[in-house]
Amino acid sequence: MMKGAAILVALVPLALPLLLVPSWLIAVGALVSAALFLTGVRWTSIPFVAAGATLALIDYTVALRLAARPPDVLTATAVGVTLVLVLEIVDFERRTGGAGIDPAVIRSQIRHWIGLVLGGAAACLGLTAGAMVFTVAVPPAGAAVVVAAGILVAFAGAVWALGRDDSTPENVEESLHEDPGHL
Amino acid sequence: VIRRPGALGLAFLTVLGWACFLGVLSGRAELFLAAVPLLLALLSARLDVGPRDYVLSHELSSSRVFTGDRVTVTVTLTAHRPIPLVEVVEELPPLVERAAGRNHAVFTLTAGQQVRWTYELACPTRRRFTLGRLHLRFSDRSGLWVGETEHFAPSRLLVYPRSRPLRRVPRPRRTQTSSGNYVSPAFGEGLEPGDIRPFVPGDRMKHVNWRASLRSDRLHVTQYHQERNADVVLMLDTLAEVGPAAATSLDVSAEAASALTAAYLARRDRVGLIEYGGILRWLAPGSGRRQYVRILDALLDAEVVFTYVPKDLDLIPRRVLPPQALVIALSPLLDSRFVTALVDLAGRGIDLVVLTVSPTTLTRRAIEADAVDDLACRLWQLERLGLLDDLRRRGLTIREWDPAGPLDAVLAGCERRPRRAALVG
Repeated sequence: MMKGAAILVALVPLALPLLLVPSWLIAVGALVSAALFLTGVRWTSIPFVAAGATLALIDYTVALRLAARPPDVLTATAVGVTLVLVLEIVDFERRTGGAGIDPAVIRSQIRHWIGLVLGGAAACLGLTAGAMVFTVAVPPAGAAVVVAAGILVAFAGAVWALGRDDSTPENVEESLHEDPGHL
Repeated sequence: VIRRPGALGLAFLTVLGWACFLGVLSGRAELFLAAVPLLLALLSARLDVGPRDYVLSHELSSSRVFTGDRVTVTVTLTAHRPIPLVEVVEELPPLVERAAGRNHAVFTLTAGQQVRWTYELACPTRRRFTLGRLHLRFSDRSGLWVGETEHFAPSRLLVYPRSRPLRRVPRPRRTQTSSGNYVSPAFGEGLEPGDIRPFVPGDRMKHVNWRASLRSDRLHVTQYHQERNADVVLMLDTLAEVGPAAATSLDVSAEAASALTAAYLARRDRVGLIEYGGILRWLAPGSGRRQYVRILDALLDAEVVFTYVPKDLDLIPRRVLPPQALVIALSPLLDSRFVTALVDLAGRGIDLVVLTVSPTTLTRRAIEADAVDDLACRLWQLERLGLLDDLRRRGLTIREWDPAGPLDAVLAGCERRPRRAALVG
């Protein structure tokens, strides 16, 4: 069931570039991408699905260049959200394949995926709206300052992420040794 | 406890990186937008996915079963704090098979919730198993970050060789003094009429044979044969074994020993066991249910221990191997030391029956069919037939058993007439 759902979702990022520019070049890219997706779904291999997703993005980029249309927020959101969803579903299948799954797990997982989709879509639309407000509010000269500030924030975030201590707390291991049955 | 990133995180990062790269390369904002859900998914990863506050229990429906029986395993998990996602896998020991259900399950638990999960295991061969090694993997819903731990709650499982009912077993040539099921040539209390003789004072009136008395005008009494039991010693060859892992010649021999034990004990005989191998172990002959369990326990531990040292039968105490006992040797006759021991026993005048498991049949089962292997097996079988003929010429009673066939059929052809001269009980 999960594999079928993954294939259905994977059709979206494959079909959208073709809808933008129905050409042989895009179709060949979509076919190769579909083959990678199918292999990844069949063998529940995340590297294959990631490769398929990357190729789908490349295909989408080529389609955007060939179409030369104004930015399409909805299509971009759909591509991003469905790529996340395909990877999530295949990874869930990989982790739980062959296992007995409690129905509550499926329910909570579907809720989580719906949350991811809605959250991703909302973030995309929110960012687009913010960008439009920003374009109107900030003069063109201030854009460079904002970009510099963005780079600094990204750098600070990376430093913080690398510097934080998220290793295994010693006390957890100690409690394991003391009472392995009750953690 | 091991905490590590899952495979999905790397995949998200790869696709995210490509989206940004392609966005910069093409100058299209759509690709940055497509990267936003990926970034959001990455940021949603929870790092505190280690073992939560939980209690795990592991129970078996039975700790003692026979080969081929099924055991139901019940695993109960109680969470004291919410667990978004936990995978539980029980590591099964070799030779234990999953019969129904799955030994791998996935749960999500709220605080205070308890889940119970059952599955069945089949045990195709006799062994002592230790179950209860459970591997737990905690993760958030995406599995971007996982925490793994192991929970060991040992549950012992004893799988005894199954005792298949035997209708006919080799009859001992010599009996013992206790009452049993064998008709002894000695007269006394019994059911089997023997001879008729004149009445003497002290004879019981119920033994008077009225027909003979009327004919001869003298009182005659019927004498009855005593019914005695016998000592049976099972000698298990643990010097060598062949065959597939779950059904080696030793496993098959142990199963035959179990069946013979049950059959002889049911006939009120005393049964003992000698493990003739790298380690010489024995159980003195005994009778009753307790002895049956003792022999089954001994068979459970029987294993091949390699040694160069030849074992001398003189090491075995006389009470374990009484001269009047029937010795049933169970062996594939692979090791010449066991063959020598058998010849030695026969030379001592011990009543001996050799039940030999065909090693070529078991070997054929363990290997793939191949012309060269087939030829080798045929040559081996010829060599083996030569050995069996040689042993038969030395006076040994040998029955060859193909484990695919019933043991009863092999033993049915093992009817031996009692030696009248040696039957004095």
